[in-house]
Formats: sequence, C-alpha cells, structure tokens
Amino acid sequence: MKSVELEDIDKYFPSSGTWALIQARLVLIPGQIHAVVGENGAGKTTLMKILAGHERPDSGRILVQGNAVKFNSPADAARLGIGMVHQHFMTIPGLSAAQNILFGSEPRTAFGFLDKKGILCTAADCAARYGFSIDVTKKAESLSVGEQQQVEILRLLYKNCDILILDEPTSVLTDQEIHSLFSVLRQLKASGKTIVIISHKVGEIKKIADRLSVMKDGRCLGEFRASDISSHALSDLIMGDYESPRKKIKTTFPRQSYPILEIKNVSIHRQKRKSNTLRDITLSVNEKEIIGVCALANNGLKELEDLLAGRLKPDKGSVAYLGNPYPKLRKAPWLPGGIAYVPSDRIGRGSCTDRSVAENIVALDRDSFFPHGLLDSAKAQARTLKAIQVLGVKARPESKIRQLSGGNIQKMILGRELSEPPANFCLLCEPGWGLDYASLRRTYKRILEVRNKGSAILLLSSDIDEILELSDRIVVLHEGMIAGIVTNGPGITKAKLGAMMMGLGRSDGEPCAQPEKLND
Amino acid sequence: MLRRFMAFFSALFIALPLIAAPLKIGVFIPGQREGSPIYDSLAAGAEQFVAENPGSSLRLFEAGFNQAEWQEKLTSFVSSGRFDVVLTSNPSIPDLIEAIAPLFPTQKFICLDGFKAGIPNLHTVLYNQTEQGYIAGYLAGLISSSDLPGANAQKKAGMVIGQHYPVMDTLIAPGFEQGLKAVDPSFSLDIRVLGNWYDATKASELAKSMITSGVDVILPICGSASQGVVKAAKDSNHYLVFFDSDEYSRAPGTILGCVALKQKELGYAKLNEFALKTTPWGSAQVVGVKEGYIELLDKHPSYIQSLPASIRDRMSELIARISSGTLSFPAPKL
Amino acid sequence: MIKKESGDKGKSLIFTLLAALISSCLLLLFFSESFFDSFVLFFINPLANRYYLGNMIAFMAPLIVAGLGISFAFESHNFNLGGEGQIYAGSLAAVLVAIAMKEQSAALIWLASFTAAAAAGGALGALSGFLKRRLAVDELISSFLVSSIVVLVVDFCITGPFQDPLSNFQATRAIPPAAALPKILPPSSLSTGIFAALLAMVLGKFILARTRFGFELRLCGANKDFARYAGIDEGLYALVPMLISGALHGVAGALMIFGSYGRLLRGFSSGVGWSAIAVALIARNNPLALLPAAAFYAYLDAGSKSVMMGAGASQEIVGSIQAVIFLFITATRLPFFKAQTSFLRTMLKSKTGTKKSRWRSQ
Repeated sequence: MKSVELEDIDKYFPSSGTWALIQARLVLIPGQIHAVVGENGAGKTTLMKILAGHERPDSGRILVQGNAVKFNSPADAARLGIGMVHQHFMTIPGLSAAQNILFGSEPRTAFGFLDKKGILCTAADCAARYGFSIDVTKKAESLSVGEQQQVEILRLLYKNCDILILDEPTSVLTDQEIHSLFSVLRQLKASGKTIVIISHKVGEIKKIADRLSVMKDGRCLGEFRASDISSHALSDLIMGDYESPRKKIKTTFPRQSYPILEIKNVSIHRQKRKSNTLRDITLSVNEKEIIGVCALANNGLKELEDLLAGRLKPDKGSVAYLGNPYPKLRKAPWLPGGIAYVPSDRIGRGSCTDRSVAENIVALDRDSFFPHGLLDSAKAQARTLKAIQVLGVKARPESKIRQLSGGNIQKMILGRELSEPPANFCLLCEPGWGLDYASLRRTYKRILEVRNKGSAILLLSSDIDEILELSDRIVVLHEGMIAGIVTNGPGITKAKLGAMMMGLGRSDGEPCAQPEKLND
Repeated sequence: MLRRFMAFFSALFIALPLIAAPLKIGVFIPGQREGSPIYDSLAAGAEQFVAENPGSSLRLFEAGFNQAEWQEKLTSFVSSGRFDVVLTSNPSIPDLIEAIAPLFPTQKFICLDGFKAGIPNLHTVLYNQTEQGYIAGYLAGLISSSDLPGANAQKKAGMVIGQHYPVMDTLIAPGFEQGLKAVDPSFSLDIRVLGNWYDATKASELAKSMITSGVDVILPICGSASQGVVKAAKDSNHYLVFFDSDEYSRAPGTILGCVALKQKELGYAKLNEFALKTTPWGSAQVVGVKEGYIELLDKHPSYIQSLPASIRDRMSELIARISSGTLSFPAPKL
Repeated sequence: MIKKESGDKGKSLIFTLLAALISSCLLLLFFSESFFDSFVLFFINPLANRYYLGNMIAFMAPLIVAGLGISFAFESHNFNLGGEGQIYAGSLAAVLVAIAMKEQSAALIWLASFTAAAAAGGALGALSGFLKRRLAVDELISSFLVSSIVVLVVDFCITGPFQDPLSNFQATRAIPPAAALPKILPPSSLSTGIFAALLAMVLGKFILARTRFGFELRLCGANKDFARYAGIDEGLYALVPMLISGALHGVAGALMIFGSYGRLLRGFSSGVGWSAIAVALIARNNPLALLPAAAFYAYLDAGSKSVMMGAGASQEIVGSIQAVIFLFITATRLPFFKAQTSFLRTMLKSKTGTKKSRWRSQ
C-alpha cells in the first residue's frame, strides 16, 4: 500500500496559453476512495494525467512512499502501480474484451505466438477475482459503455495497479450501471486499492468518496473528509460565485401547436443483434415542445439517434420534417430548414478533433461561408464568435478541438447547434454530458429559450434528472418499443420512469403507460 | 579470303604492343551478362583484349532488362566521359546512340549486332542473319524430312520468338523460311510470339501447341524463356535448332544444331581495329560465314552423333557454298 | 483562421531522413568497392554533373504530379495504390491521341493528349472510388488489383496492336517530334514539363487549402463521421478524390512521355507510382512540401544511379538503399497514425515501438 503526494504542481499549456495547474497539491491515503471535484477546466484531469504519467509537470514533485519520482510515460507510472481510466474509453474494436484487458502483456505460447486460450482464461480469472460480471469473450464493439469501463478497470488491475484513477466514471453510465460500478469500487477498496475519482456530481461523490479535494482554476481549494462537508457547501465551493437559478421549471403547453417532426410506424431491424432494433415507433414533436426520450442502454436510444442523424434507414415507416421527407443530409441549424443536432458521440461525430473551433463551425454551412467556392473569413469568424459566446467556450477560434477539455468541446457543440437563429427541430442527445454545474444551468436555460422561440426539441438522454428537468412530455423506450408517453409534471418520479424503462410500467397499472394523443 | 584474315591477325599481334596506347574501354550491356551468352561473349572478347594489352582498362556496365531505361543509362555511362571507346551490342542500340551522338561528338561507339550508317562516331557491324537463319532453316528442313525418330511426315517447322522486331521480321524469319523451302518448297513456318523474353512457362505452352499441330523442329529465339521450349521439345521427343551460341549441352539429342555468332571474336577484332586506328567510322558492316563470324557448330559430338551422315554432308556442302560465295545473301537494308 | 496543420512533427521527419541517409552510407560503406568514391558519386555527383542534375530535376516532375495525386487521395483518407496502372493507362491514351493528331499544332496535341491521359487515369481511380462507394470494396485493394491488370493490358497493347513495327524496342510509335516538350538541359531529359508540374502543385495547394471543395475533402479525410454529420455527402469524397488522384497520375505519365521518352516504352514508368507514395508521405500531403520531398527523393535516386554507373555498385545494393529509405519513410509516416483518434495517440505514446507493428496489422 502506497501513499502518494503531489506537491506544488504547475502546468502551462503554451498551445492554448493557459495555466492548467498552479501550485496544485494532493495527498492520497492508501485504501481510500478519493474524489477530485471541480468545474470543467478546473485542472482535475490534467492533475491526474500528471499522476498517471500522461503529462509532465512544469514544476513540482510527485512523492510515492515519500520518494520523489519522475514519470516520463504512463508505463513509468504503471510500474509504481498507478493507472488511469480515461473519460473516453480506449477499447480496441475487433479484439475481444479479454484481449483488450491483457493488451500489451498477453500470455504467449512457446513459439511466441499469442496464446488465445490463455488470454481468455487469464482475463476471466482476473474479472472473477475482483467481482466483475463481464463476458470476456465478447468483442469490444459489442460491449456496453459500462462493460467497456469494466474492461478499462480490469486492464489496470491486471497490471497490478493499486492506485486507480477514474476520470468522470459515471458520466456515461445509466443509474443501474453506476450502482454496480460503485459496488465494484467498494469491493476494490476493501481489497486495499486506492481509488481516485474525478467528478463534478456532488451527490455521487458524497455517496462513494471517503475524502475529496476541490479544485478551481488550476488550484486546490482544500481537502475534506466526505463526511465533514455538506452537499450544499461542496457545491458552493465548486461553483464559486455563479448564481444558480434554482427555480422549478414550469411545463407549459402551447395552446396551438403543429407537429414539426413526425415519425410514423418506424421499425429498424438489425441483423446482427436482436436487441438493437426499433419497433413500430410513432412519435411527433410539436413546435415549442421538448420531448424527452429515455431508455436503458441497448433499448433503442442509440438507434433513434442514428435514425434522425440519417445513419440508419427505417425498414418500415417514414419520418417527415416540416411536412417533407426527412432530409438525407443535414442543413446547418441557422439555415431555413436546418436541424440542430447534438450527438451523443461528441468526439467522433460532433467534432473534428484535428481541426480548429472555427473549422468545426464553418463545416456545417459551406454554402454561406464559401461564397464562390472560396472561404469568407470575416463571415466565418463572426459565426464562430457567436457560437462560442452562447455558452462561453474557453477557446480561441483557431484552437484545435483536441486542445479543449471534454466539457469545452461539448459547450462548443451546444453553442454551435443552439446559436441564433435556432432551428425548427433540435435533436439533443445527452446535452449535459461532461458539463459542470454552471455550464449545465446555462445550457438548460438556453434549451428552454430555444423551445420558447418555437423549436421542436427531441431530447435523448440517459440522465433521468435531465429528462425530468427539461421535458414537456417524456417518452420511455423499452426493447425498441415505446413503453409509454407521459406528460411531465408533479407525480412523475424517477422511480416511475425507471420502472417503465425496465419494462415494468404496464404491469402495475399506472396511468403513465397510456400513450397520449400525439397530434391534436 | 581466310588466309588474308590470318595474315591480318598475325600482323596485328606483332604490331600491337608497339603502337597501342593504353585504352579505356567501356562495355555497355543492354541486359545482364549472366544467362545471356551473346553478352557474355561480348564481355569475354573485351576481356581478352584487355588481358593481352597491359595498361588498358575495362568497365562493364549491365543496364538491366528494362529497355525503357537504356537510353538514360547509356547517356549516363557515356557522360562520365572516361572511355576511349564504348563497345555494345544490340539491334536497338544504334537508335539510342543516334540520339546522343551529336552531344558527345568525341565519344566513339562500336555496336555489334546493329546496323546504322552515317553517324561519324559510330561503327556498326551486323551479322548477316539472313544467312544465319537460312543455315538454321536448311538444317531444320533436313531434320524434319528425315527418318529420325522424332521427325514426322508433316512439312512443318516452328519458331518461338520473344517479340517482333525489324531484324527478326526482315532477316531471321525470312532467312529461316528460305532455308526450309530450299529443302522442300512445301514447308510451312509457324511463328509464335511470346511477348517477352523471360516467360518460360508460356514459351513451353506455345511450343507444345505447335508440336500438337505437327511441328517437329523449333527454333527458339526468346531469351531465357527458351528453357520452356527446350523442355517441351525434350518431353515430346522432338527437335530444336539453336541460334547464337553453343547450346548443345542444354539438351543433347534434342538440340541438333547451333548456328553461332562469333561475338567474342568479333568484339576482340573490332577493339584491335580500334587500337590500330583503322575503324571505318560512320560505316555499317555486314559479316557472315565468309568472314568467319557466323558458324554452324558441326564439330560438336552431339551434332555428329545425333545426325545421320547424309544430313551432315548436305550441311557441309551448304556451308562450303556460302563460304565460297556461290550462295550469297544480299546485305540487308534496315 | 482556417489552415492546414503545420508540421509539428518536423523533428521526426528530419530524424527519418537522417536515418535514411546514414543507412544508405552504411550500405555503401560495406558493399561498394571504394567508399570514398561511392560517397562522392552518391552525394556530390548528382548536383555537380549537369546531366545528372538535369535528369534529377526531370524526374521530379512526374513525382510531384503523381505525389499530388496521392496527396489528394490521402487527404480524403483514400488510399490509391494504383498509381502505376494509372500512369501507364494515361500514357497510352496520351500517346495514341498524339499519334492520331500528328497533323495538328503542338498546343492542340498537348491539350488533347493531357486531357486523354487525365481521363484514362481518372477513370481507373474513379472505378475504385465507385466500388468503394457502392459496394464498400476497399479502395486500397481494388486500386492495386485494377492497376496490376491494367499494366498487363497496356503491355499487351504496346507489344501487340500498337507496337512500332520499325522499332527494335517494345514500344509504340513516337509522338510527333514537334509535340515533345522543349528540352532544357540537354542531353538530360529535363523539359519544360517541370514548370507544368510546379503549376499543378501550386494549384493543388490552392484547391486543398482555400476552396470549399478542398475543405470538404479534407474534412472527410479527417473525420468522415463528422463530415456526414455536417451535411457533407461523404460518399462523393470517396469517388472524386480517387478520380482526381487517378487523373493526376495519368498526367504524370503523359509528362514523362512528352518530356523525355517521346513514345510509350514498355516498363517506362519503373515504379514512379510507388515513389510518388513515398514522396507524398515525406511531404505529409502538403502540396507545397512536395517540391522538397520530390527533390530529396530524386536526389537519392540520382545518387544511386550515379554510384551504379561510376563505382560498380550492383543494382541490388542500389535497390536495397532505395528500399531502406522507403521503409524508413513509410514506417514513420503512414497516415494510419495521423487519422486515428486521441486513443491511438495515447496508446502509441504509452507503448513501445513493437506495438506499432501490431497496430499496423489491425
């Protein structure tokens, strides 16, 4: 069991011109769960990357067992038992879960070839030892998000890491998955591992962490025992001077509204997996309305997104937008007939990491920004600044996306999609993903603004709090079917929605299972 | 005539050490020495000259099989400017020399097996390949008409050639056909084109197909692909006549005759001529049996054992007629 | 604000080139008769000798144009391995058109021949693009296979129906002498074609960096999913860049014909299609960097030829040197790595070199 201390760490990023860390310090006590909390861009991830050897500090010391060490690479850190699970998982498609877990140190046969059977056995043993319930023979691409996370953690455990750093581990998980993650973490703690969780979800932190450090603007504000600090005090510390608009959102139905988006009897069959289908979905989204759609993983949320992103063709049924067939290629949200779309995959689909912020915004509307085929820089610059300002992205137009933190990328995407003038139809998938509290409030406010200006919004989210906070109506998917449509309001609880999501809605005779009239 | 040559050579040998300055010789081989007897003997001729003339030097350059690169390589070779004379051999080379001769007016070229007059720093010597073809054709005709076990009744002979090119189309093939028809006018000649000079498998297929159609003697002129023809003939017990060098040992009993070019001797002679400063620059010579540079290799045991005396006699008689000038083939115009 | 990424990995490029040079020296040291002579011949002679210098610059012209073609494909994340076939097909088309038009003025012949060359090469490239778009056939495989077939077909045409009956070579008839591009440094094969190549290069840079078409193309190359998300028809960018790539290869072939060979000789391209890939990789697909990259490659080529000619280094040694250089370049510069997400970068950072090779095979 090792104690670890980070002392007076400074880190400057010349590419973005920011001090990510200023005299940051952290003490890890062996065998405890330690949370590092703070806003997006507070420096949490950078500090942990330094501890895991992914980044080098400009100054400061890392002490392991009281000895100063230098990490030139993650391998150096791993040798001392320190490993990190990143926010974006790094499973390798095409390899099995077992191969992913053992990647880089696979057992080999006498001739130096990979020992396939040995890999499976070793990985299964490793999973069983720590109480993971994962099928290691599965291919990486068919793993759920939660399973991918398990693979990541197992990868570290296999390398005998006893200090595990998890970057925003719950942001992509469903409630059930979070629950099982936490029980795994407690078990690991019991077996003597030290765990660091980067997070900004106060409730979860209080539930799981023993100790916590609060970071803001690259500095450490303090370390606390989790039992010593109230949620309220903690969120005040994290948010700083930002004033939270903690008023209950009213759900008002417009008197007269007509459907903007109509999905009629859509079914999608995927040959490979039975679960990944949509079955006879009929849904219409009216103007000035937010419809929240929630589901457990692998119950059709992803397919619904892909359908409206134009990636999946319906095998049956049709989708109409403003009375016309749904467009094959999307127009930029600020154009007439455009669509705003915040994808759940912000790195792969929502942004191009090798390009600048400006290019990520210009890309959506080449017609306007390339008059006569050549770039109109002034116009592009204006639109970029406009999109950045919506949610206050901390970046310059020419910064590369990959230099931005995860939350900033999300804010860039949200700002781009929700900037003025808003689109008639917005498809928002997990809009609050990775955002700190202040940004989340600003985002919700903007979403409601956009709705009030007349947009029809389809909100796909696995975060039920988000659904409850924003939706006018809530649609629950279960096994690719609509399990129920309810009007949001008093009496709708997380528990009720959860029951519907798990397919229990109909049996308890709740009125929520009754589909409402859609077009009136 | 022969005597005059002998005298010439004796004079040469005596005079050489007295007058020859050390020569720098470049030999440009458009291909590779190994596996190409014709180039090997060219190099051997030059080597013999150098061995007999202390102080003279030899640079051998193999340009490889990609003919598209020859022009550039020849130019590079020459532009190093270190040779008194560049000796080379191939029908296509004179064209390449013509393109660069004006740019290197002081560079002397001697090209064997090529034909181009009028370039002041180039001397070409062409083998009278009509003659060579005629001898091979006459022998082929005799073999095909004989009662040898592999000969059939049909009056058919064949050729497998690498590609069509002017020397082939205007000299060799017509010569071969004339030779056949001199034995019996009812002979027909079947020519198959390989398209390259190395595909032995395809050459074998072509030979087999000809044999099936009744051909019993084949003349292969297709570079290293000829191995395929040798195999096909051997397997089916038919016969081959060969060109350019002593090839009997490749398939004794199957290869019944070789009409050789004395490339080594010619190259050696031309270098000596150069050393004596008697090279007729700008001219194009044609040499043949009479000059001693085309020869039916009739002393080889394989030839003597495989062929009946009647055929050998008729061949000796033919060679005698050509040597004496009774039978002659006009200098070719290319 | 919107520009191409500048070479932030310049260090690794310099290391690559140095490593390539050093290993060439070692090979020479061990295998040539006299190291000093070979060294001078390899490194100095190509620049000091007018003839080698001319040929070196002449060789740059097709390298730049074909390299530009490769860049267009790579930038859109397409892999065109069919360069040889496209060069061959383009050259055949150009020669046939030029021969058919021998009565016309040179300008007219150039226009028609280069158009024909671009069309022939482009059609081959577009075929692979079409197969990718419609049938999801990997363009890397299809372009290579199609090219291999085309080379044989063109060989047949050269030695068969279009063989010059008066030539001892396996070659078509010559283009009208008036249509040959004016020579610059005789006797070398340098012609005004090099200026055409430079023009194409600048034009290519402009298109990729400044135009909407180039922007969309590069976006599709950088992240196809995002491009689709942004409303770009990414299928089009499987087709069009391959077409352009093929067309540029065709033009490169025509440049060689009109600039130096004057006729279509069997085997004339001798690997330009492959060399162009190396050049484009050195240049990291930046069209302007094609000039130094092609110069470097042509320099090594001229050096090896010079050694072969002057010091009696065998063809095998010279071939090995070129192979080593090519290996160094491709090993470090394959765009596989460039295109991957942050995951791969981190992965490679954290693993040793041995893992890279495993990744390549994925």
